Parts: sequence; C-alpha cells; structure tokens
Amino acid sequence: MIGAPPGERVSDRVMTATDVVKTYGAGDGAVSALRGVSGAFVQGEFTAIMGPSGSGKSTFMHCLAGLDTVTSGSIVVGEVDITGLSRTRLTELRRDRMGFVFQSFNLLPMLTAEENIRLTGRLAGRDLDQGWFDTVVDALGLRERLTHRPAEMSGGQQQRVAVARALLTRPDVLFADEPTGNLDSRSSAEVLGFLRAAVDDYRQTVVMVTHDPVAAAYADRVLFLADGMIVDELAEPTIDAVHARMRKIEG
Amino acid sequence: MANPLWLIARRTFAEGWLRLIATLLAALGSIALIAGSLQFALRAQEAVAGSDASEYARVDVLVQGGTVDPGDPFAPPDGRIRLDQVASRPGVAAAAGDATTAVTASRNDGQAITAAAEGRTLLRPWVSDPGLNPYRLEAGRAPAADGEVAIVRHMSLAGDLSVGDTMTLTLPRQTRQVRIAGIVSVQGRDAVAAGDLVLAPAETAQRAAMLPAGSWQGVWLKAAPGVSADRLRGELARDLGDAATVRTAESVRNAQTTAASGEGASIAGVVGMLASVAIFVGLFVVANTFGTLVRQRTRRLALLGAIGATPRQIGRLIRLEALVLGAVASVGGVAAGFPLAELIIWLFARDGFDVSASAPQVGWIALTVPVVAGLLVTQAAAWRAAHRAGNVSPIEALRSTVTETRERRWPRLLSASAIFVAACFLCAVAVTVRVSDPPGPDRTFAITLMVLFASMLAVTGLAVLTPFFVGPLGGLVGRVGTLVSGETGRLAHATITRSPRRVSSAASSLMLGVALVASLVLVTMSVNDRFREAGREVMAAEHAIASTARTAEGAPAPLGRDVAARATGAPGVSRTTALTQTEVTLVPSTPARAAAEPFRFLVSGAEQTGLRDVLRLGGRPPALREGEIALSSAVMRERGLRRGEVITVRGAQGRTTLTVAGSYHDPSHLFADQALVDSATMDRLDANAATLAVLVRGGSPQALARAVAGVPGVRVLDRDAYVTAASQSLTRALRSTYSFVGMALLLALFGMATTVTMSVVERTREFGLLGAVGATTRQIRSIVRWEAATVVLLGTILGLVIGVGTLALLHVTSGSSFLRPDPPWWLFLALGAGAAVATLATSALPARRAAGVPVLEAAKAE
Repeated sequence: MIGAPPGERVSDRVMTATDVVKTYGAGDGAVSALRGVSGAFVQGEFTAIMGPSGSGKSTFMHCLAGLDTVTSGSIVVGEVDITGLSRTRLTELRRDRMGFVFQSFNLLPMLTAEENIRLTGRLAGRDLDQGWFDTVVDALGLRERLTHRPAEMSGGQQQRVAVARALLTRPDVLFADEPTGNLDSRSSAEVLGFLRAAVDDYRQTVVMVTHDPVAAAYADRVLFLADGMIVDELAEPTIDAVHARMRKIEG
Repeated sequence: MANPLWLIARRTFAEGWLRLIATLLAALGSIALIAGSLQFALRAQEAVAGSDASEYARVDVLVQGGTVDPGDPFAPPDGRIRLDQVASRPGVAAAAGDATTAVTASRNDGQAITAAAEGRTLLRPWVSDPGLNPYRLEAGRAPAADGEVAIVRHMSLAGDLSVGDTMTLTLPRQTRQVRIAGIVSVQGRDAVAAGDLVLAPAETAQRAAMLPAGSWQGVWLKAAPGVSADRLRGELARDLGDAATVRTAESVRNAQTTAASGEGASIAGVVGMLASVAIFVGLFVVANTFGTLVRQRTRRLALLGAIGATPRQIGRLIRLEALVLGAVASVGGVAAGFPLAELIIWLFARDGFDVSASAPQVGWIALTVPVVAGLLVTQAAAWRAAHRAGNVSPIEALRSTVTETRERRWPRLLSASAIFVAACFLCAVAVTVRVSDPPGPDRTFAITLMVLFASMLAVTGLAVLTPFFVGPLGGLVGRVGTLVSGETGRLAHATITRSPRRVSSAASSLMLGVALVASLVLVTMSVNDRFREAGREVMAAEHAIASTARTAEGAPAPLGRDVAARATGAPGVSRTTALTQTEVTLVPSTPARAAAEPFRFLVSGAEQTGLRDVLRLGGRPPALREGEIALSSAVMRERGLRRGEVITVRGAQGRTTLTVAGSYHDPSHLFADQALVDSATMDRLDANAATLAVLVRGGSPQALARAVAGVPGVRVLDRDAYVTAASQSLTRALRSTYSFVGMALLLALFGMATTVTMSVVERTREFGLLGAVGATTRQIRSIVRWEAATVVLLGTILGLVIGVGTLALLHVTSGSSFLRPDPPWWLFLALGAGAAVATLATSALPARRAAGVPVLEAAKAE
C-alpha cells in the first residue's frame, strides 16, 4: 500500500538513553520512577515498551521525548543531549525530529483534520510537501475526512489523524503512548498496521508504550520495565511470548 | 491562513465566544466606560468652552467702570461709567450702555432653567443700535416695555418656552414675572460663552443692576470709519485715566475663550480621574477572567506545546486571542460609549451641570482613543495569562485531570511587596503635597488622586496575595461546613484548599466590588454625618427659606431678598435674617504680595442684631458694625492677618476699607465659611449680593409656606433639609463619582460571575464523578455553596480592609474632619450580606447546571 522506499536498512542510532534516573519529590518522601534506565534506538526499528502499572514505562517515554525532565543521566537525540536544553530549544527539537501519538486528546477540537495534520509543520514555519501529504493521507484513508472536526470522527479516525500528523514531519522518532488504549480491536489493528508499514516502508523509528501484548507483537523488539528498571528484552515478539514474559515479571 | 496561531485564535474565539462572552462583556463594559467618560469630557469641554459666541461680536472697544478682575473675564467691573462721558467723543460711531445682573430664570411651574454648562444666567440690556447689536431675532421681536424680555435660544429649548410665554425671573432683590417677546441667537449659537442671556429694555436692566440713571457698568463702542479699535482704545484710556478700564473687545473675547477652555480642561481632569478607575477595573476584571480562561485550557495549550509550539508561540497565541477580544470589545465599547455618555450627561444635568446642548463628538480622538485604550487594556490584562500559558508543561496534556500545580511562594510575595512599596510611595507623595502645598481645592485634589492610585495599587497587591489567604480561611469555612453539613463540608474544604488560585480569582473580583462600595459609602456617610452634625451646631434657626432652583454646583440658587420681609410677618416668627454672599478680592497691602496670585474669598452678610438667634458660629465673633469684618480663623492664619488690622477689598462696587473685628469659624462651611459682615457693609460691597437663604426662628413651616406662597420657586426647609441642600455644592465631586462607581461595581460583579461560572464549568467532570459515586444534587450544590461562602468571606474582609484603609489614609493625609474612618457596625453586616447575595446569585445558576450534568456526559474527556 505504501510505495517502496529507496535504500536499505542501516543500523544507525537515532536515540540513546544512558543511566536515566527520575525522582519525584525530595528527602524521605522521594519516589523513584526511573532508577538508571539505559537503551538505544536505531533507525527503522519498532520498539515496544511494556511493564506493569507503575513500572515507569510512560515516564521513560516522556523523558525520551523531552516532555518530562530527568533527575540525572543523559538522553542524546542525533548528536544533541536534550537533558540540558531550554524549553524553546526542546520544543524546536521535538517538532523537527519527533512525532507523537497519545492515547487520547491528540487533536485540537477547533481545527479540522487537515489543519490538525499540518499544524506541527506550520508551527515550525515549514512549507508543505504536498506529495508526502497526499501519500500519508491516502495511506491512512483520511481523504474523505480532511474537512471534518475531531468531534465528527470516530476514535479510530482520530488516532489515524494523529498518526498522519506525526508522520507528516518525517520525524527521526515517532512516539506512541498507548495509541490503541481507547480503541476497539479492529481500529487498533488498523492503527498498528499503519505504524508497522511506516517502519517497513520508510524506515521510520517508532517507540510505543503499551500494556497490550497484541500491540506489542507488531514491534521488532519489546523492552520490559519493572520498578523503574529494564528487566528484560524480547526480539521478534509474538503474542504468546510477550504474555509469558509479562506473567513472569508480574509474578 | 499562513499563521497557525492566528487560525487557532480565530477559531477559538469563533467557537468559544459563548464561553468568552462574559470576558468580552467585561472588556466591552470597561471600554464603554472609558469611551463614555471621554465622550462626556469632550462634550463638557465643548459645552463649557464651545460657545465661542460673544455678545461683543460687533463691539470694537469696551469701556468698563473702575477696574476689572484680570483673572475673570466674565466678572462685572467694580465701577460706573456715564454713557454721555464716552458716547460723544471723536472716533465713536455708536455707543450702548451695558449692565449685568445674575438672575435665576424658571418656568412658571417652578422648574429652573439651568444655564449651559458652568455658565450663569445674566440679565442685560437689549442693544437697539444695529451697528452694535449682536443678537439676531429668531422669533418674535425686541423687548419694548418693562416686563418684556428676549431670551437666547438655549433657554427657549431648555425651558420649552416660546414667544408669548411668561417666566419667572429671580433678581437679587425681588422675584418677578416677565413675558417673552423674542428669542435670539448670537453668531449662530444658542448661548454665549458667559452662559444664558435675558435681554430686557435698557432701563429695566439698569434698575436691576442698581445703577443710577445715565450710569452703566460698561459702555460698548463702535469706532467711526477709519478709526482703528486700537487707536480708539488708546485715546480713551489716556483720557479716562483710572476711572475706567478700556480694552478692545477682541482682547476680552480672547480672554473669555481662554478662561472657558481652562474650565473645560479642569472638568476633563476630574472625568479623566474617574475614567482611570474604569480602566483599572477593566484591567482587573479582564486579567482575572483571562487567567481563568487560560487555566481552563491547560490541556490544549500543553498539547500544542507537545506537538511543537514553543513557549513564545503559545504566549503569542494568548495575546492574539486577547487582540481579537480587544478589537471586538473596542468596537462594541465605542458604540456603547455613546448611550453611556448620554446617561452620564443626564445624571450630571440632574445635578445642575448641563452639557446636553453639545453635539455628540465623533472626531478621531473620541473614536480612536477608546479603541487604542481597549486594545492596550486587553493586551495588558492578557500579559500575565500569556506568560503563564507559555509556562504550561507539555506533560499536562497527558494528564487525565488538570490540577493546580504547586507554585513557588516567593515570586508572589515579591511582586506583592513591590506593589505595596509603590502604594506607600504614593502615600508619601500625598503627605509631601499636604506639607508643602497651601491648603485649597488643588491640594485636596492632588492628595485624593494620590490616595486613589495608592488604593488601586493596594487592591492589586492584595489580589496577588489572596491565594495565601485561601488556605487558612478555607480551613475555617471547611471546619464550620463539616460541623454543619458533614461530608459535603469536608469535600468543600478539600476543593477549596486544593485550588487556592481558583477561589482567589473569584474572591479578588468581589474584593474590588466591596472595596469600591465600602470606600464610597464610608466617605459619603462620613461627609454627610459631619455636615449634619456641624450644620445642627451652627444653624440655630429652625427654618430656612431657599430657592427650589439649583446652581450649577447643585446648591439652592439665590432667591429674591424681598422674601425676608414676607417671612417676618408670618405668625410666631421671632427672627428672620437674610444670608447674603458675594465674592471679593483682597487688595494686597505690600507690593511683594501684589505679585502673588490674587486672594479671592467669599464674604457672607447677615443682619447682626439677633444673629445668634439664627446662627451660632464658633469662636463667637463680636457683633459687627458697619465697616467691620470678621474672618474665619483659616483665612486669618493663611493671610497672616491680626485683629484690628485694616484691610482693603475689591468687590462689585469698587474698593472698600474694612477693619478686622475678630475671628471665628464655621465648622459646617455652609453659612459663613470665610468672612462675615453686617448687612449694611454688604450693601457697600455689593448691593446686589446673592441671597442664599432666609433663616427663620420661630413660626411653623405651614405659616411660613403661606407667607411666601406668592413667591414662585421658593420652599421652606427644616434645619437638616437645608443643611443637606446647601452642602450639595460641596459634595458635588463626591456625587459625580456615584454613577462611575456604580458602573465599575457592575463590571466587578460581572467579573466575579464570570470566574465563578467558569470555575464550575471547569469541574463538570468532577461533579459528574461525585454524582456517579452517590452524591445527590443537593449535596453537590451544597459544596458549591460552601465554596461561595469562602469567596464571600475572603472578598468582603479584604474589600473592607481596602475601604476603611482608603478613608483612614484620606483622613491622615488630608487632615479633614469630614473624612473620619468611623464606620458603623451595621455597615459591615450590610456589605457582608450584599456580598453574600451577589455571590449566591452569581453561583446559583452554574451550580444548578453542574449538579444536573448527567454522569456519562461528565465522564467524557474534552
């Protein structure tokens, strides 16, 4: 469905996290969400992050994306350590190099689907690549919905609009935070299929947080977090294998 | 649509205008208030200065008897001049005698015809010489016989009078009926710069001015062909010497125009001060609602931040929204300013300051200044909100509920301290002004201005600090609530202390409203109490007969002195005294003093025999004989005069030498504020001195009313009623603030309603959840009510602190006994009750709606 890209898969790193620690509060009441997490993400790889509730999986992703600050450690995107950047620089880096799909509330309700898709590029003041826009919109089947407002679309359609927005800027990394958490199984399969296709066809790097083994099975590898640390990793996951690892971690 | 921020701002406004409408109306109201007061100021200025029409339009040279007051081009001269002395001189083509007498004109139903703004109504002779006559007959004919007059068109419009009607003229010595023979315009205008004119046959005007036959206050001259006005003036001045003042009519006209525009400027100053209150309230309310608006949209702003909007872009988005809001509000505000100006004009006209004759102003000042002010106010109001919005962390978008983030205390404390330091600085300036400047209206004005600005700053400072007060006060209310209504009280306590900023934004609007009302009520009560108390102390007479008409300042207009004689005959009356008043200038005793500003003061005249039956002045002035004057201790002190000293004053009839017989004081400032003389001395100063009132001892109101029944436009007042009426002229500035404060209060309440409504809407989900876990509609409403109680308590306490503080500051800085911070206990209760009613009224509807939200509806995310 998406045209074949040129080039071949090269294992170059797009993002590295080293010894990331995140602590909320101070003194005796301090709570550690991340206790020294490291990881590397290479181009064209689809990584799923899993773990029980409170394991720190969402916090880890937020830190990777520069949405949240880290207490110590470093996160290098490209050649830049983002932990020391100002709010403005961080925002610019995010809109140039990252894309986001959240579980819910992805779209601004007063903008149409098309305006939402093009928003990030416009905020950066970039010209629209019409060909790429058409490719993404058609691939996601949104052509008929471009003039609709979020309130006029189903949950699955809204998530597809969010994916289109994230892909339009050709980000180095696309972050997805429980992107199928609010969707039925059919819509989930559609959205995950698009993410997979983006990885396969355009060597898009995707980092996805999920608690659903079915969703995790779309990934190339799965990182398992528990109590703020990476406790396991699974390559070429299947639904059953993910299930088994999760049961083991949860005891 | 290249700019995405502009797109978002526009869409937000277009879609959320219902939510924004309250903010929009608050901004619109404040801009309307700015536009309205500006419009009023411009129209007042035009009305005061605007009639540049001069009765001297055709005159070349003006010869006035004796000397004229250089500071007041409208004042009559203090000497006489015989017409035949100048009329037959070479170079004079035509001559006409002139005399002015201040009168009050009323319709036959007793309603006074108020002169155009700040002007007076003057009785003058009709000028029959066509070469000099500036009056153009618009209807009827010239007055030909005694009892006939011509009036300017303003009077015919204001009093709805036409040719053939009769009207009542109150002259200094008598009240009489006259028939309107003609209606005139001057240079196309309805009135002249001096005010309204009543034109009577020359002899009538001459008699009214108490002039002997052949003598006039002034003579109008037309120069013969080929003789310039300047040459004629020079020749006459040389020949007449000190006996007369000779000026070209042109220089008098210019002086009148300058004086009138100065007067207009001073009115604009007062209105400007009131408008600054409007701007402040607008700023305060819009800033408050904008802050709430931004807080409400935290998630959207955070999402924008997450997907690539920089903090600066988010800040700009808020400023763009403020721009759209400001533009819409400005256009609406300018439009609403016109009817508002009409309302202000009507309110002022009721008080005697009538500027309705002027046309609505549509010049670029009247239109652009409010628009620019509106845009600036909304931008300034959104400044902090924009700053806050830029600081919203993108992570907020991922939270399912929006909670107030804890903020650091010191920036708030620091900015509040800075504001309070500025307020203290203004107070210090006020104190400096008090110490260094001479007492007088200018000083009082400057002090009031400083204290007013200091109070505004204090309101802002307290508003910044309010979140700190919410915690302890919310704890108190929560404890009472838990005692009274159990679990709902506990829940209310939790919601209050969890979001102090939300509670405080509603409370600070209420604080502003309470502060406005409290200051005004306290000042008014203090002033009125003091007047009543002092009036009772001074006025020993049981009754006063005064005019029903009012002067431009709002006090009773002068009445005819013949009323005193009528009252004397009434049964049971033991004493009647006519209280007269005139203005004189102190002739400097040394050349050094001559250079300074001339000292003008008001001299009151009263029959000395039995004066203590009607007036009990402090310091017991001795019974004054002719040629003696008693001065108030304030005047004595200020001019450095001593008892027994001989002073010379210049009055309407030239210079008079008087001996200072003693000092006294009039604590009421209403009867003989500055100086007192015997009635015989008054006749030497000004035979036509205005009679303020006739004070009567003994007799009954009914008997007195019967005695004066034949005189139109007078009424019998008891002690308190007269004191209230007479004090109107001194409390005019205060009364003029009522309408402004009323409108500002409306704005403040509006702001509170907005913030309360928004805070309830903001928590729709929360209320829905409460409903889902079993809270009844009544319980949810009760939570909202307990929260409202905190708002009322906080707003009222802080507002009263400001109100009482302002009055105390005014008392300390001005030292006036009329401004005493002595609030009665019931005022606190009344204000508290008023605040409670206002808060319940504003929160009842949103609370009802919130409690009625279906659980499923509430559970939906944005």
